[in-house]
Amino acid sequence: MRTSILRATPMAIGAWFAASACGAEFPTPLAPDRVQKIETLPAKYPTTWAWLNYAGDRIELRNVGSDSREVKAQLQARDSSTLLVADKRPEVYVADTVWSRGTRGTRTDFITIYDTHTLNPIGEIVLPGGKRALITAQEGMITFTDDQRMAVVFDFTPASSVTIVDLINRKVLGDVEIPGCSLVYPTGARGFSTLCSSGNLLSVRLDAKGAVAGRSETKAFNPLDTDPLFTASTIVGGVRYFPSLHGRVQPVDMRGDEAKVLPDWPLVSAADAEGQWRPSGWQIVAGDEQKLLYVLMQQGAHEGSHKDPANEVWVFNTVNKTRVKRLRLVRPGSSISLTHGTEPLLLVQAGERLDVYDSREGALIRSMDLPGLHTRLQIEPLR
Amino acid sequence: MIGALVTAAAVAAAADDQVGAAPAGVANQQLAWQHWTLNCQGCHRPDGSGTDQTAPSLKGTVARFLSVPGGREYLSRVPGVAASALSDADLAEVMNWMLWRFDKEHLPADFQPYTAAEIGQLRTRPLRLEASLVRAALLKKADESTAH
Amino acid sequence: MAHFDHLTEKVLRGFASRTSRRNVFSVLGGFLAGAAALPLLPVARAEGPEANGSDPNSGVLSPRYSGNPQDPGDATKCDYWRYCAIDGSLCSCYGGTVTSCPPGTEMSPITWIGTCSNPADKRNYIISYNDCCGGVPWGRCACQNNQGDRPLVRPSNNNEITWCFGTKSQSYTCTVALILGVAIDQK
Repeated sequence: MRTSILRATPMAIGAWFAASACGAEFPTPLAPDRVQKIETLPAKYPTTWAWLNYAGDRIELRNVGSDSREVKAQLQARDSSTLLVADKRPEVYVADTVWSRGTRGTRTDFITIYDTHTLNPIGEIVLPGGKRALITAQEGMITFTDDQRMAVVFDFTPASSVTIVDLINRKVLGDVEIPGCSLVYPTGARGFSTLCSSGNLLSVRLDAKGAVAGRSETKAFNPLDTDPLFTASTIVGGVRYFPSLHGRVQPVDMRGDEAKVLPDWPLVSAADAEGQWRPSGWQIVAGDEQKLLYVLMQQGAHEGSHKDPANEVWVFNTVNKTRVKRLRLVRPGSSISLTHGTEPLLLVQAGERLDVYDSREGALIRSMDLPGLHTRLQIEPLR
Repeated sequence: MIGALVTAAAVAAAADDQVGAAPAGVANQQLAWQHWTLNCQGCHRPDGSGTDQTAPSLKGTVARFLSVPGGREYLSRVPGVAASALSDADLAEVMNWMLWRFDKEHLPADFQPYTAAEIGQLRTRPLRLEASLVRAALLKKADESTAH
Repeated sequence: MAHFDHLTEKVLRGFASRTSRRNVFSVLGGFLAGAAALPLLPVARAEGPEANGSDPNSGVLSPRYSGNPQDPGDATKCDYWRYCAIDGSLCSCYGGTVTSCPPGTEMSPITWIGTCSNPADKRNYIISYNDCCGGVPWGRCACQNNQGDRPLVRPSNNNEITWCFGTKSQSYTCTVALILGVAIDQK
């Protein structure tokens, strides 16, 4: 700055003096910024913040509970990156894939372990075999199990398998082939379930070393030819709910070692059937602690419209299986989530916006930008 | 360049698949090819070649399973086969076509084509965690029987 | 494929509700019934917006037509008939064509395959969506059509997967749409 003043034209110097005359109003200059400061975060984040995963290309921590709407932090993400947010210890895990020369060279699949307080990478686990599934980032690509001591990573080459990881000792324990099955959902104390192309679920129980200790398969319940389940799901009252393309919801209890398929029920009543209302979008379901199930619903659905943004969120009481509310969105949304706590906020990704609604009344509270969101948003609320 | 070559190969393969005498157990070659293309080729590639890292090779291999006990059952219990979207009859036809198309050399002289009833029965028990172990064991047996 | 549904949701929504090129018939393995009767766009309408691209001052890529009236449409636009089930970026905008990858990339031999209806000859064609891999990925000519796309449980019917397998790099660049043959309508 000093240099530019010395080189300045007489006219500019005149202007500078004129400006310093205004300094009379502020007799003390601003103090120099002597300290090189790095921001830190609380070790445990408020539930009014949320992780926003830009389809595996970028990950952002955002304050959704205040009109300040600020970006709190960002994490590196390169390809199909997925996020696991621990609440048992102050760590965040990101599974990612990079190549040594940008888009070519040696491939490395790895999990980075971040300290939540500093967001410094404090460890990593390299995943062998170059097989981590590269898919638009979504639920089911990675999950915790064993009370967050282990992670299960879905691999696809296009042969399906999972890699079992020890997050405490930060090492790979092994892998399990799951031919004909896709994605992983935590099951029992230590294990996972996966959706198989026979229309059923395979549940695998793991021992303390991450090896297969048992397995079971459900009967076929997912009619892939006529009304398949979305792979997006949410937990309500301990039970996992999968909506179907044509508007059923399929509860599955994965609390025990073996997945238990519960009776399905319709989201769309006979009265609404005429409007061709169907679940539609990307992250299309959310659940809250009051046993309410939130589903993105779109009118006039047709072949190929199942990922289109939806105009409404329907809220169901999962106990008596009835719809309790219809929330009309200000802008059509593709992904939804609920913050945890007594006053849950309904987060809705609508194009390059994240709209924050009051989940009870459905009023829009605030809206924030999602610059450069060219893909799908995966929202990870905090506990 | 590589892309152009692959493209040419894919198109040529599609044309090849539809000529020649109809193999046993294949009523409609064109339809068998179509079912293969829409349900299997994506992973197994137009020429049935593959790798252990992607989808296993069918080319010059797949009919070898028929020469060892359990091999015939294995082929219809592989998840990609067992859980395909095809009906039992269509699946039986694709299996018969595929064995002929990709591994004529190893097709036993007394090969009895798969039937819808047989496929319908076997496909109810898809292989899971053990699929690649079963495959390796069967191929080892096939190697041993060839060596004798 | 996967990744880029770079059309903004607004555009996508409008687009998706206007176009339904895929003529799905039950024989083609597992697609939902009820989709077959969706109307096809008139060809002239599909070619409408490219008038702007024809203007050298428009600032956008010029349209690329096959020149064959039996294969109508602009290969740089998402509404070209072969793209009825694409989720990705169009190689025609990256130095490739509808059937070839851009220079410096590799074409994946492992692909996802569906069917699209040709509005000119009214035939259903079997289309292979081959991803080109190892090049420069970004958002140009993003395209998402989900006709016949199904949840990942049956991966062979899913377009969220990066179909870069058996290639040196599995980093996604763009997608081409090859005709494998004419689909026979059994029914």
